Amino acid sequence: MADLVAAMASVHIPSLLAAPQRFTPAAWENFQQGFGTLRHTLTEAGVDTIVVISDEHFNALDPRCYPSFGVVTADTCTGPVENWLGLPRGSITVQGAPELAEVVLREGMHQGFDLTRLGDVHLDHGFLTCLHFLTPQWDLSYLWLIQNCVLPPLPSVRRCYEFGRMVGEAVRAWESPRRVALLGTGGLSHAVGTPDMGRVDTAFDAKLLDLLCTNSPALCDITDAEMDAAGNGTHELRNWVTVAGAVAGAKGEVIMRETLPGCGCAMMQFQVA
Amino acid sequence: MSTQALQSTLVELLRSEEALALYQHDPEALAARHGLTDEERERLKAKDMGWLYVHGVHPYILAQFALSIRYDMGEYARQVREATGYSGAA
Repeated sequence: MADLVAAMASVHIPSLLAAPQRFTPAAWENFQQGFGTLRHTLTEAGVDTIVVISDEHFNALDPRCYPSFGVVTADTCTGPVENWLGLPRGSITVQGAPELAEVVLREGMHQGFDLTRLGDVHLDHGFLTCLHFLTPQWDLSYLWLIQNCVLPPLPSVRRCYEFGRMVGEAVRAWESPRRVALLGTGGLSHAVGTPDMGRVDTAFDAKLLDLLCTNSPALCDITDAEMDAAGNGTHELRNWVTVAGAVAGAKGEVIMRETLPGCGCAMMQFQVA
Repeated sequence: MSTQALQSTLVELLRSEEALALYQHDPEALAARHGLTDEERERLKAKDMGWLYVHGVHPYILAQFALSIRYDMGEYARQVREATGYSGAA
C-alpha cells in the first residue's frame, strides 16, 4: 500500500512569482526559509507523489461549470494559464497521477462524495506557486484535487474536512509503493477583487491556525460568514482544513508567518507518523 | 443585462492571447463574438472596473482581467470602492 508520509499547507500568493520585487528582503527570506523547511520534509520523507488540494481561479474551469470537488485525472498537465504570473505561459508540464486519481474517485463515490472527473485542467497559480519553490525540477507525480472555494455556495468547512478524511483513506488504500504528500494551498485572510481588497484579519488567521495545529474538531464549526468577514479569499483555507482531515488526529506546527499588505501568510506541516 | 456573456468574455481574455489581442485592437469584434450589449462593450472598452464589478462580474475574474491587461490595481480598488460606496478601512 502507498504511504501517506507528509502533510503540509501554504499560501499560494501569486506575487511570489509575479512580483518578487515587491517583497522586503526580510519577508522574502522568511518565505524562502519556510519553503526550505517544507522541501526538507518532502526530501527526508522520500516523497514521490504530491496530492495538491487547491481551488482553481477560473483560468481553466468556467463559472458556468465548477464542481464542489474535482479530480484531475490527466497523465500530464500544463501551465501556467496566466499571462501575468511571471512564468512563460504553458512553460511547465507536470506528470499527473491518474492511477491515484481513479482510486480517489472510486473511494469518494463509495463514501458518498459525488466527485467530478476533470480530465486535463490547465494549471494556474493555485497549483503552481508553492510547487515552483518546493519541487522546482517538477520531477514528481502530482494529483490535483480542486475544491470550490471561489463560487458560492461552497462546500461547508465540515464537508471539506470529511473530504480530506476520505482522501487520506484513499491514499492509504492505494495498492502502490508510492510515498505520498498532501499539500493544501491558499489563504490566509485576504480579499480578491472586492472593495475591501488590501484588508487582512490577523485575529482570524491566528484562530484558524491554532485550530489547525491542534487539529481540533472545532475546525469544522468555522462558518462561511466568519470567512467572508475576513475576505473572500479566506475561503481558500478550506484547502488547509482538507489536509487536516486527511491526517485527523495529527497535530501540526506553523513553520512560517508573515503578514503582507493585503494577505495573511503562513506555512504549516502536520506530524505524520 | 447579460452578466454571463460579459463574464464569458473576460474568462476568454484570461486564457487566450488571440482574444486579448482582439480586445486591444478590435474590441467591437470581440464584443460581437460574445453577444455583448452596446453598454457592456463600451464599459469593457473603457476598462470601467467599477461598473463591471457592480454588474456581476466575479471579483476573481475581474481582478485577474485587470492583471492580464497590466491595469493599475490601486486604480482598480479605487473604482470598485467608488462604485459600491465602500468606506471601510483597507
